[in-house]
Amino acid sequence: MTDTRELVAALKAAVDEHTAPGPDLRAALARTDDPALLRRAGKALTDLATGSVDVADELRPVRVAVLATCTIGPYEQLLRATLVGAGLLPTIEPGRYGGFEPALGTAEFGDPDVVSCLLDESYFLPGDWDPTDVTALGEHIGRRLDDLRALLAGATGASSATILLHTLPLPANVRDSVLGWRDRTRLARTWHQLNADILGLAGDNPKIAVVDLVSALGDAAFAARDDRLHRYGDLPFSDGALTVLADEVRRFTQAKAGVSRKVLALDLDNTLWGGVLGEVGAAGVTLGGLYPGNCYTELQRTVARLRAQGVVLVLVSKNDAELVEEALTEHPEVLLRPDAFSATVVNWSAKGGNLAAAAESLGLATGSFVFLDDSAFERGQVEDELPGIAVLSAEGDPAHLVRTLLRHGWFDVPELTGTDRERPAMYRARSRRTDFSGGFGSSEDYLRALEIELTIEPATRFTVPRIAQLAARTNQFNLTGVRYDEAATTEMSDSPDHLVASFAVRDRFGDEGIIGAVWVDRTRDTWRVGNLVLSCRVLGRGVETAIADWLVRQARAEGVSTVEGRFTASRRNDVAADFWPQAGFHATDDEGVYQLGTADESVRPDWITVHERSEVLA
Amino acid sequence: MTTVAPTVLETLSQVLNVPVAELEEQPALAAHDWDSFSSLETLAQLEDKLGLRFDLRDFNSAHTVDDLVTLAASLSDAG
Repeated sequence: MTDTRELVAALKAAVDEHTAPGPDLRAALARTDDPALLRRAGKALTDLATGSVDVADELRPVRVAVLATCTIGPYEQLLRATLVGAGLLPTIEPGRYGGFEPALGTAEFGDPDVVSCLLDESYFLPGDWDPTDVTALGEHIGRRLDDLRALLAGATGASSATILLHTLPLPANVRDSVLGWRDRTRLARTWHQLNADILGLAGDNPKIAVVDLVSALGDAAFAARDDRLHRYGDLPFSDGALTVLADEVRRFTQAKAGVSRKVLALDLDNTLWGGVLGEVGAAGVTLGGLYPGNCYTELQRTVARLRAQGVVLVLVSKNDAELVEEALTEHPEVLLRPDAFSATVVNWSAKGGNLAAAAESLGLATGSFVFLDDSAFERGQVEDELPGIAVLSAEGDPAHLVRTLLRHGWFDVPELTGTDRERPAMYRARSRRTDFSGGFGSSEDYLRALEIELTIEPATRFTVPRIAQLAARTNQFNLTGVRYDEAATTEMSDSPDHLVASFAVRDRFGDEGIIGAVWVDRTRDTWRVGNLVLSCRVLGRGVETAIADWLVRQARAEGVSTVEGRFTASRRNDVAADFWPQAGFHATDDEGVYQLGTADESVRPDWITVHERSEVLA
Repeated sequence: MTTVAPTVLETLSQVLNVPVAELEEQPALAAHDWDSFSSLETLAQLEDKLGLRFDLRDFNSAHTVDDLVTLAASLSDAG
């Protein structure tokens, strides 16, 4: 209780000082699933300074509207607390009681990032129904689903928001009202079909996403409903159930906002296998077979699945490097062989420093890392030295390892892209590229030897998810901070008044995939760059300059006289501050606005070969 | 009765955001931020901490801190 009180007091203090709750407070929020604590935390965070630039620099702002077929009640507080715990700065806009259908149909909420819908069975069931005619009940449910579908079509047509729905448990009081087993089974089937149809809505429309609340509740230690609250306050879900929903909504919102993690750093002894390698030798570690070896095997299998979906693996172990190499290469039950790891740091130094070094060699911030270790000492040292890193405990019964790793959704993305799948290999190539750069007289010789190829192509339905992901995730080389999402990017790419293009880079060491994108407003005389983002891992090779040069040449070819770009400073985009002047653009009287006449020459790095698709100017 | 009183006071203090001393001085719940929302939050927390279940009708008819303590104590004794 003291901890709870301290946490809430610390959150209040941050709000009073108009600062963002620090990484330690956010980690404490992320760790808890206690509804009472989250409610109080959410209440304490009500006046979090969403308008403050400093706070918005530390936390990613998101707007979430909430629409409900029942009382929203504590859901607002629970959602706010879980979102802040994930490093987000939420503005939550609850809809009015009883206004679900009109608000959805007219997209009354405007253009928030997410509309979280809180649904209960009252939307789908008639006030009274005939227990002897399950078929008629099923027909009614089907009509209500059609109504919902029509409302959603209206909403997604008028708003850029993602509408987040959820599946619904069949309430026991409904199920148990039907006495015949055969009919009750039909009722359950009808209900599961409703949930399948709700899930199917996400497949039909990219602006709809669905939380499988039924499955999440099945795994949670909370009763879904308190009948007293339901009858008294039209609160169909218990605080515990709302916490489960809020956490799922947090996972989606975090993924959409691009604050998910990219890197999983793993300890070895008593984490990826049982036992201490230095004591038992390569053949003696516990792995495979029955419990507890099967727990470690299952963890390795799970980690391999994460890697297959783009999570970059780092091995960080206090061990003898040769012995580790031997065990990883030769132990028959090891699933994560040495080449599964994009970076490996095996030595006797402190893990905080080792993780920082690994992050540097990968060109990624430690804030994009999750670190799993069984030693409380190591975890404490890392947490202390690298605030912002997510630290998970592999201590205790190894049966829990996989759940510990997966349950928070650290690595969730709205949609997996080709670049995600190739990321681990790209980052391995990157560390080899860093080694290669040692042997050249000048950096230009080195760049020439890299044989860099830049491929520019207009956004297509295949590349839009990756482009939107870059907009959401890129903080450093992000010229204006405007984060065009999937829907906006699609709209712009379909419109003749705009141009959206992606940039892909490859060199002799590998294919980086799509690493940048540009959004341009086109008029007859001027092209204005709404934003240009570039992944940090390709900076320092002249790619950004080649992109500016390409833009100017395209504009010239279309008879456009001026290209205009902007730079809006944030706390993290210093690296891009001189981009426009370096590309040959001139500052204008408007602060942060740069122009270049297409009659003038732009700067062109001759070591980059540019490929382009002709449809760019369609 | 003495065993549940500190928990009831502490919980009310947290939910209503007023110091315990102030609740002792002014025990009428209506004098504080006592509405359906805060009362249900109090209900959930007390049930959780004390391991008991209220009849919502009895809970809603409690108008003072002392009413709540008496109600919780009676259930606690019964249990």
